[in-house]
Amino acid sequence: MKYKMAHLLRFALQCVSSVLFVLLLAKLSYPLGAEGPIYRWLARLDPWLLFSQLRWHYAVPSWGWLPLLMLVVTLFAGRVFCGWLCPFGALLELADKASRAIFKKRSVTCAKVLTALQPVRYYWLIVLAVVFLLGSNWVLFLTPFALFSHEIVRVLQGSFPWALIMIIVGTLFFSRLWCSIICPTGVLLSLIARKRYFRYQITGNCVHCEKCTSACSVSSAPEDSGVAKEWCLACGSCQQVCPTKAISWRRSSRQGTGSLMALNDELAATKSQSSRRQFFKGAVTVAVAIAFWEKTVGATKKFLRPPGALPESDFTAACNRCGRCIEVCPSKALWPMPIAAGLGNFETPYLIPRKAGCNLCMTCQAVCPTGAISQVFSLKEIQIGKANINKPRCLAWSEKTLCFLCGERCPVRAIAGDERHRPSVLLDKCVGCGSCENACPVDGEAAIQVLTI
Amino acid sequence: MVSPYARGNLVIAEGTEPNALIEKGFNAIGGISKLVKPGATVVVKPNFSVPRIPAEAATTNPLLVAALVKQCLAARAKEVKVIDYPFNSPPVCLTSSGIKAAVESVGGRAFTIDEQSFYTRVDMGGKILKTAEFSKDVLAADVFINFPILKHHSITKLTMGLKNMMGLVWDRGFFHKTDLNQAIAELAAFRKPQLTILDATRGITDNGPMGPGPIREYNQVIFGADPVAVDAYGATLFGLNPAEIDHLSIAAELGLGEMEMKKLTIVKV
Repeated sequence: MKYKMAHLLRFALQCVSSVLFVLLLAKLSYPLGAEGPIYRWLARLDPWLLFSQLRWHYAVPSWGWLPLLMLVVTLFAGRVFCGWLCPFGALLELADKASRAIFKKRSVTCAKVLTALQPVRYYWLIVLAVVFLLGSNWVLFLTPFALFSHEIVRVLQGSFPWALIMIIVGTLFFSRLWCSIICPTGVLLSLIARKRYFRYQITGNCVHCEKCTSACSVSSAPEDSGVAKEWCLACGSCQQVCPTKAISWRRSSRQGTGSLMALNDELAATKSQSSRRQFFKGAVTVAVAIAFWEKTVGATKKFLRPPGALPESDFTAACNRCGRCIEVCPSKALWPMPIAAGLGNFETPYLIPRKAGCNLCMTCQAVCPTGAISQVFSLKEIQIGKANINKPRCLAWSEKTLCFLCGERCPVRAIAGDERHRPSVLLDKCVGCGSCENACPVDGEAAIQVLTI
Repeated sequence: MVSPYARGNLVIAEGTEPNALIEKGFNAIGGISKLVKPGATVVVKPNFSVPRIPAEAATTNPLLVAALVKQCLAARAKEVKVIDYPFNSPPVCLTSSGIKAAVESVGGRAFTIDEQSFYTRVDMGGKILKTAEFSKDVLAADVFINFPILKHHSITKLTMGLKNMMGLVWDRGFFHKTDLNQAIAELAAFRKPQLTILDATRGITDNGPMGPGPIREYNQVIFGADPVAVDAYGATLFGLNPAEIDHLSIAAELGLGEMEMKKLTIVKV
């Protein structure tokens, strides 16, 4: 009865988190309502966001207690975040359940692949950590809140959500492979969960029917070792399918069961035997990570970034590509960078003034979960770029026309006109919003353009 | 479209309370029921083209607009649409100006005409403005009321009713590329509002049209069927000779209205 309630609660939480997540993004618009702060707090459940703040802002944020609480919960009960709260995990679980219902035979090969790939996890974590510390941010892009948000925004913007579809197709064949091996948050929490206090374990009469093994979506069932592995999502499927009711949710005991002791011994033995080999593998992993980082680091060229954006190299590193600034921008001034701009810049937001100028409403700052677009309180702190007049193209300078449209549109009075209304830019006042470039009536390339600083 | 009000008359409502200003203005000019018949579609064109808040006095006072919408609906108008084509982001301008909230609170509809589908190409018959893409909503309206604010403008010195009409044209760049003042006057000749109401309660006296700038309080709202006369009065109020406003002189020459204060009957209420 108690277990049934737990399953029901888990189901309810998953529904709420995934539906809420999609709704929060669909509703996201100017002027910002409650959807802004709700999402920000939701995203803060992910410890990677805290690491990101520490890495690029060199400060502990006031909300730091929330991801820390998440880590404590993981230490206590394992990956309940992944199995109970994660909106992306909930979606993938749905895909997995559907696949199991359709392909009845799938689970055997699926479990084999999942099991075979499990050792990759911590090498992958090393790669992620090295790349992250060096300062390239596709690591945060892979975390569930960023990735799922990014894909929903793509749909809302009328693009095809490639990553989402690929991950869902992958889930149809290999169950929650993404959650157990690739997701940075999942892998990190797995590591923490090694020392967890509560876990599913065999306490009764196991008949080795392997039903739990085939039911487990991450290949962590306790059938072979007596306890669920550290990457267990605490979903309780094993307990539900067990014909002898042998599996229960218990605190881990130091004495443990016989099989657990055996496992520990075995692990210890493996460790001493292959420490040299492990060191070698680790070194190769770090080298691969550094190579990866070099390929993905951007910041060689500057772009027009949203108002309040961190300096270019920090910006591309801190931005998790969640796409919310692009979605919320009431001026439709922000665009995702194309892949041609390099992996380090891919899908980061930038401004194309000729399409639309920034209104300096600062809503992008309010929705940015990473602080890559930091909150500024004065226009003086904003340096998107600087406007520059191409006098031969300018109607007022070259044809003596009474135009001055750039000056009319400038929200910060950074364009001065002389006695004949010929414009010039006051560089100390210009924030680079691009209103002038957008308004310039010259056909084709504007006679006034915002250049990067 | 002909206005039911006498062209030579200007009504100046003085005060600060928005509802009272609109009410007494209409009473003095001849009553709103003369203009808005039951079942009529009314289009109001305030100026909310810049992302400024009402306190910054660079957009038409939203409470005045709401008071007008209320009057129109009380006169049993079928629908009251409040439109502009802002310079900047439509949601930002609709929100910051307070227009959307104020208009919707009294049952009107405020929106921006920021897509080409809101326009249709029409013959303007001007010297330089031969054709233009003009607002379909205004063309289809039974009653069109222009509701500008009196404020400084860096290129045309002032912006009032005639300049406000530019917010009903899709390709405004053309105006700036050719001859701005001539084009404004020719646009005014194309479609005259049946009534112009000039919000001269408060307005910026420099750094226009975008602002922010120094604010002057006049505490007046001007009602008139003659768009040139309303603007000419506004220019005088601002401290300029109407003839100094180029587009106003051109419009007067084109025979669109009266610029001479002496020839107008001005009633203050």
